Amino acid sequence: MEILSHALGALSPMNLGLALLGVAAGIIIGALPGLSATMAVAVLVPVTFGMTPESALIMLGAIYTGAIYGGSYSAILVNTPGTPSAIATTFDGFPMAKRGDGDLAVTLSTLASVVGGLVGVLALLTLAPLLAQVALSFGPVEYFWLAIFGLTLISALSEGSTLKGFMGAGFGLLLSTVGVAVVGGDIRYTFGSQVMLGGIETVSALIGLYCIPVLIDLVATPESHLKVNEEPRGIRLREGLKHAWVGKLNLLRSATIGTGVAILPGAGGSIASLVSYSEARRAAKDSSSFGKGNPQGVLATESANNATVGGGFIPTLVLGIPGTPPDAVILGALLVQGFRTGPELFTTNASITYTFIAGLFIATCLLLPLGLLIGRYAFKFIITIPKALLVPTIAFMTVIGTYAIRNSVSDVIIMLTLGVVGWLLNRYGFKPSPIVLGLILGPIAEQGFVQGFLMGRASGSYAMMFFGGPISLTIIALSILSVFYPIIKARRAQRRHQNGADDPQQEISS
Amino acid sequence: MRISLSIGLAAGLGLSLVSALTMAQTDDFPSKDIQYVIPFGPGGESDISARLQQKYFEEITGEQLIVQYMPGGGGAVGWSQLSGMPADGYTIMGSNLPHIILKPMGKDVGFQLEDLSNFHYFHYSPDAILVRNDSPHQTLDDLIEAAKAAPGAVTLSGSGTYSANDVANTRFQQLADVTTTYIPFKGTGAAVTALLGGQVQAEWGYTTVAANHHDKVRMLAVASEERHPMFPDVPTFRELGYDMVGGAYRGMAVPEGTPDDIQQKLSDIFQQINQHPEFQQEMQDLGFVLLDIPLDEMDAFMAEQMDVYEATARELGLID
Amino acid sequence: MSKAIPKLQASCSARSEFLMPLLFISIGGICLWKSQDMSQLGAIFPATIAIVVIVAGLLRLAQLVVRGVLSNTERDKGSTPRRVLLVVVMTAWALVMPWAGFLLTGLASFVSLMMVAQYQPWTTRRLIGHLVTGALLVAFFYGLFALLLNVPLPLGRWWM
Repeated sequence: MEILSHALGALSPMNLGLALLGVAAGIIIGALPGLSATMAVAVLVPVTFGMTPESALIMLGAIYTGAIYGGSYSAILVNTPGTPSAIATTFDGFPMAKRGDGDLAVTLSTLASVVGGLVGVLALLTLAPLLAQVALSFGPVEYFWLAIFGLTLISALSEGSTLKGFMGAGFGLLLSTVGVAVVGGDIRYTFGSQVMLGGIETVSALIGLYCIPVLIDLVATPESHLKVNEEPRGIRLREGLKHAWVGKLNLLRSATIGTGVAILPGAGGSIASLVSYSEARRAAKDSSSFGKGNPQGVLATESANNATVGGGFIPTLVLGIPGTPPDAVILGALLVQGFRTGPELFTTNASITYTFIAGLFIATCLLLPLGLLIGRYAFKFIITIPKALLVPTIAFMTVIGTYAIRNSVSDVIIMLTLGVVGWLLNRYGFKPSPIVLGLILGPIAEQGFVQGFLMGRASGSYAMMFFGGPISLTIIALSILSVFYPIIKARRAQRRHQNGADDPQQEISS
Repeated sequence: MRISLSIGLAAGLGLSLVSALTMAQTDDFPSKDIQYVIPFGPGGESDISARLQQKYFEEITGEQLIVQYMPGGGGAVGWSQLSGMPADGYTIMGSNLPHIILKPMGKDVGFQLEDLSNFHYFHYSPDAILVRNDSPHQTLDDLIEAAKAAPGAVTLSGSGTYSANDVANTRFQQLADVTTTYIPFKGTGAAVTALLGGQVQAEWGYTTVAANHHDKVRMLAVASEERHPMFPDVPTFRELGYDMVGGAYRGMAVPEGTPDDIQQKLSDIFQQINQHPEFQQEMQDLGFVLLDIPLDEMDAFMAEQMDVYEATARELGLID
Repeated sequence: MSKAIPKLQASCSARSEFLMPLLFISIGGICLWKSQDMSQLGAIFPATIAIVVIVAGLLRLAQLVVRGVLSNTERDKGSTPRRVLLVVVMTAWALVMPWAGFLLTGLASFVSLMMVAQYQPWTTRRLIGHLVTGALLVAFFYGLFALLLNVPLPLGRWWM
């Protein structure tokens, strides 16, 4: 009952207003490529010093929730993930928008984000101490295998030739090693340039690889950016709800995956949404329609990435180890406010903890009305703005967004270079997603491997180190399954085709 | 009438502009917000201590201290760009020892120690060896014995290669005459996670880590001159017979060429923050040890540190 | 799998399908060669990946030889000059920005990109309308980033 009184405390008009403001600001910041959730939260921290701890926390949670969701707008409407968490949303969101279903995709993303967000917050409220222990059982070796599991998604992500996917992912992995190595301290592949010392910034690479090719092709033809339907259809909420109901299992599975991945510090929303996307695709009967504008793809990724908000706070609050980069900023703000993580969380500090969780809950609920409203305007803006204005606007956002990440013009140049390379590669059948997958998973795989190698040397057995743990073996089994499942599935489908006993389409009519 | 008014306006505007420009350089400093660039990501100790300063900076000057992040290359990305930033005192950057000494040693990382004009160093977090609460190693001697019994079998996590932790481990191995396995992680957070998860037996961390995770870890020894007031039971390395005093020192720097009086002014402001009792208490609660090295003592301090780390760098094989 | 192996469909010309794996093999080769200068810990990962890239490239070449390729004749056409112009304008923008400042280069490239992307003929009204909207958008983003989010945008070194 204690939580209830704190929830009511969080509901004061002042706090509600702050939450509303936070969510709205978060959505807008998240929707702009380059302005990540981390930045949104970091900018807000000094503002919150003047507030009471409760209001400060509510506002920080609100802006974070809004920003993760806002990332889906640019993913759907201009094929650019506004935050790394929204990478996988481009896979089906943008094709949907291209064929004229952008409004539906935005509505679906809103519904999925609310569901995912609520699942994450619920996990934070009920299972936090337990799940935090799970996070600790993931050591370097487990992270290494997790990255390998992530890399098995290549076969799902590369259309056409899997070998091309492997080459692309290898290229991405090599790109991820540029700069000063965390382990070993070598300076690698900078070719003498100081600009490359800090490595290739992931978000600027995302903007380059996804957005610049869209721009390049946008100016090449006079056709409009997205297909526009003649008659206005509103926000298509009814249709969206129907899709969400059909995909209710998908939504819950993705939210669970999102929460699970988020409790592992360092894994993050991008991996959560990629894994849930491939799981949704694997579970679906019509897996070939994924990547071509399947609404279930959008539902899966957006549900997963908003679940990481609540999930990421589990290690942050219980262990004092931030689950995601925005969590790190919020943890810093909490420490400055005098809050200590650990066992006092639900005892001495219960009032702050519960208020914070209640604030996250409220912010997630506010996503529904605010998201539908702002999403409608974002969609209208993109489809009504003439091309001669759309192109410079998007270009402007990519340049200023990339610059803002670490105030660096060099990052803008790298972004543009990768953009042109990405466009050329795409033309020759190399999709950007395997490259990005390599870029994101590279550091996790490498550090996990080298640390595991050192630990193996210390313990005297490499085999025990890499193949000894139950978690490692489970992930290895999953990876093998992930590679061979499409073949097994194809066989099974041949054997007993047209048997729709567990078809979700039928479930709804019964 | 109209003409004289506009002339008057123009003259007034010009005057105020000129005065604003000159004032900005001396007495009135700071007359606008100051950008405080942290060359690391958010949530680390540099970030948290900067956030603590933020509040008092506004109290003292009436202007805001705006924290920015420029992570990459273990600080090298930020420091290599400092010299290109405006040298007017309105851009300051976090400066960390031993990073700024060790990074440019023996390789080109885009900056030299001389490129940074450090104007104030305000605290340090002493190195410490941490173990989990349920660890069999009760004292530092237990750990050393274990390392002697099986050279290389004792694993210690830490943040990065050629970092403060790596240096501390090298020095410790030398002083205690043992061989351990140092496992570099990406940042202190990841290193402590490995300790908590039992993947390593001990961690090279700081008193701040022990303060943050006080319910799960304990320290075997601290590399400060005196025992930390928060941990009166934890001995220093010196007490145990190992001459180790060190840690991660943090301060602020401006680009080379910033006027001396502005540097002095900045140094004064941050010294004033350091003397604020509330700030002192907050820093201590987080496990930091306050330090006060103003502009006029900076050269001597840097020279002293340089000597210490040059010796270790030789040991690490960074320089010949 | 199917009995009669169909020819592979190229994304572009058949020749480029052969050239791309060669490109990746050479990237892998350079990375492998460069990794020799690194410490053991630093080299192990990039060297492994480089080998994987080379192997994947070789396998792809073998696949192409064994199965044969069909040139893709339905490549999308489009205005290449406009594409090149877009990239040139954006690159120039990024390069000049530290010198001329953010606002000026932002406005200049906004207008240039507007011209690049315009297919219909310009009327006075349309031009003025677009210019005003463009100025408003630049002002909005500038305000958002520089004032609200405290991003230190380059002011330009030419007038300082």
